[in-house]
Order: sequence, then C-alpha cells, then structure tokens
Amino acid sequence: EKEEVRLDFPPSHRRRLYLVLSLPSTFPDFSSVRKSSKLYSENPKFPMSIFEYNGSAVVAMVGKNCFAIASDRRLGVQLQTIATDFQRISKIHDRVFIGLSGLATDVQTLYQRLVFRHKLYQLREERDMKPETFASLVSAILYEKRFGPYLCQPVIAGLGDDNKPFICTMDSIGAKELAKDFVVSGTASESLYGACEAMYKPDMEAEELFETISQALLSSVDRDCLSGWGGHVYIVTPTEIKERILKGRMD
Amino acid sequence: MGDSQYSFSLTTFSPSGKLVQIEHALTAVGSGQTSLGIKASNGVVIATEKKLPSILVDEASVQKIQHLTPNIGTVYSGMGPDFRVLVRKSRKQAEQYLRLYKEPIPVTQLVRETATVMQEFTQSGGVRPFGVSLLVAGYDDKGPQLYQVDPSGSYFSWKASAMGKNVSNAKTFLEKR
Repeated sequence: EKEEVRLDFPPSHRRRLYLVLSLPSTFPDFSSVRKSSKLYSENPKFPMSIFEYNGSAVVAMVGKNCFAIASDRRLGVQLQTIATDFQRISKIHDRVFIGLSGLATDVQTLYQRLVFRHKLYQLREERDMKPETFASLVSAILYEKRFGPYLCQPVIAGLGDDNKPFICTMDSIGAKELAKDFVVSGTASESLYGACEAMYKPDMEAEELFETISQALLSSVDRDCLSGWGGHVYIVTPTEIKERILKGRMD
Repeated sequence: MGDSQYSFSLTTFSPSGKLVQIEHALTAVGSGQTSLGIKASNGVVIATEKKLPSILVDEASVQKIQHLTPNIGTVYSGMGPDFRVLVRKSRKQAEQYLRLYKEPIPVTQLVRETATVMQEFTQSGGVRPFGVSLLVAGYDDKGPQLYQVDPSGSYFSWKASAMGKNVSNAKTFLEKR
C-alpha cells in the first residue's frame, strides 16, 4: 500500500511531496505513518501545510490574442471562512495581471512589493513592463527570500508585444514554469489540472474562453473544501479588460 | 581667481556657485585626445584618435573603444585609467539589469546609471571626480542613440558630438555637415 509522506518546506506546486518530519518516539514503524498523517491533519494543534492555511485556487488560460485569469473568492482560517470577497488577482498594468495563491498575508505583501517595483520601472523607463520581464522580476524577488520564502505561488498572465498572450506560474521560491495552454495554482490545483486538461482547446475566442475557464474553475473548487465561494474572472483582449464575478456553490 | 580658495575640497561650493574640482576635471577632459560620435538613421558611429606615446607601444593592447553590452559601446576623452574603472562599473550594472529582468538594458538606463556613479564621486568624501567624458553609443528598441556623460554626472543626447582637444573645430565641422 502507498505510504503518505509530508514535507513542510515549500516544494514545487506541481508535485506535492508529503514527508512526516519528526516525533520518532510516536511512530516506531513506517506502517503507522499513513494512519498518523491523517491524524495529524485532523488534529487542530498540529500545523497543516502552511499553503493550505487560507485556501485558494488560481488559473490562467491562453486564447486567441487574449488570455483569461480566474480565482476563487474564499478567505479562510483553516476550516473557518472569514471572507467571501478576497481579491487574489491584481492588475499590474493594462496588459499584465498576477494572481497569487497561498498564504493571504504574503499574497497582499508580495502584491504591494511588485506594484512598487513596477511603478518605479514605469517612471524610470517610461514604458510598461513586458509580461516576460515581469515574470523574471517576480522570480528574482521570490528567490531573494530563498531561505525564508514568501508562501505564495504566483500565476502571471499578460499580453506581450504583437498581442501574443503569455502565461506562467512559479513555485514559492521562483522556479518559473511557462506554458502554452493553461497554468494553475492553489489548494485546488490538482482538480484544476484535470478540469483544464479536459476542457481546454487552443485558439479560443474571448467569450468561449470565459465559459471554459469559468466551468473549469467552478467544478474544481467544488471538489476542494478550502476554496470556493464564487469566482472572479478577468478576460483580457488587446482592446478591453472584462471583469466578471461568478456565482457558484456558496460553500 | 577668488575661486581658488575653494578649489581644494570637492564638496565645497565656491561663492560663484561652481564646484571647482569639476571644472578642473573638464579641463582634464579638454586636453585629452579627440573623440566624436555621429548618430545615423540606422546606427551610430563613434571614433577616436589613437595616438600612442611611442612606436614601441603594442597598439593592439590599447583599447580606447569598449563594449558595455553587445549593443552598447563607448569611447572617451580624458584619463584612460578612469575610463577603465567606469567601463567595469557600467558593465556590471548592465549585467545586473539583465539578470533581474532577463532583458538587455536600454541605452538610456545604462547612461543614467553610469552618470549616477560619476555624480556620486562628486559628492562623497575623500574621492575625486572622474577625469573622463564618455560618448555612449547604443542601439535598442528606441533605435540608435548617442549620449555624452560628463564628470559632473550630467548627460545629454546628441545627434553628433565631439570632445577632447580641438573640440570647437570638430563641432563646427559637425554643425556644418
């Protein structure tokens, strides 16, 4: 039978390794690991993964000369929901958006730092940052805190030169992952992968992209108890930005 | 001149509102070998006089025009060793920018940072200004650009410019043509 192991450092979000860390006195042999790790997550005194403290789901998809970025709206403290209108996606400028999943305080602080850096860049260079450049900047800022990281996983989406959409994601220490179709992040990421993989097709127009990303998001957060309470979707084309709120299962 | 009482310390203004050390630095530049640059519609040309002190000097070892990045180069008038130090600092700044943004540094930004370094040396204790003026030539998204950076840290964009000895003759020639 498969043993579940739990790792407490911020790993790449694509593959979550679980490694039970300590307390050799309580676990004399490996077969009890599976039982006890379940016990761990039910025990409120033991910290769950810090990435699951607030709960989040963020996804971005590429369309034809447009992109979509969407997130859930729940802010929780472990099992308690405390807000249903939490803003996880933020605009850096008209053609670059960033969605941050993970610990909510780091989401807000990191966003403030990035806006600060981008504003200075805009003033000095008299131009907006390209999405690829912005992604490199985020990666560098995250790596600066390599040994005491920001506990978030960003999803960056933007329109580059000649309106070519760009999406990428990275883990909490800045390992960039570019994709041509979609990127996901957050506690609902596994369900999101499945839903996006099934529903995505290339070169969708803005309206169809909106339908696809909304359906993928809502069906995935419904499978995750820590994210949900509706959705927040941005569809960005070269001429306009459409922001929509989705109403899903409000739990 | 009455200013000479104030020319000992760099960080002291003279009563006429000048920093005399910088004036002296500009004099050092003015007695250096001529260099000039011209901006064309599809590129920039920079040139300098390479007069070696003796025929025994290995001319290949003397590099008066240097790359700062693959698309930005520079030439100077004034003190060669000061130029080497500035080139080293500028190259480092260009690489730091590239490392952060994964994008080659725009010419304006590199010129601004180099000029900032030169200005720092006019406002710190125990250092003297650089005895060089640089002509920075580069090509980026905004097209070909030519900048001149002075020891004071001020920089200007030029269509054509000259520095060093015989600068007035050179500039008159450039203005006519």
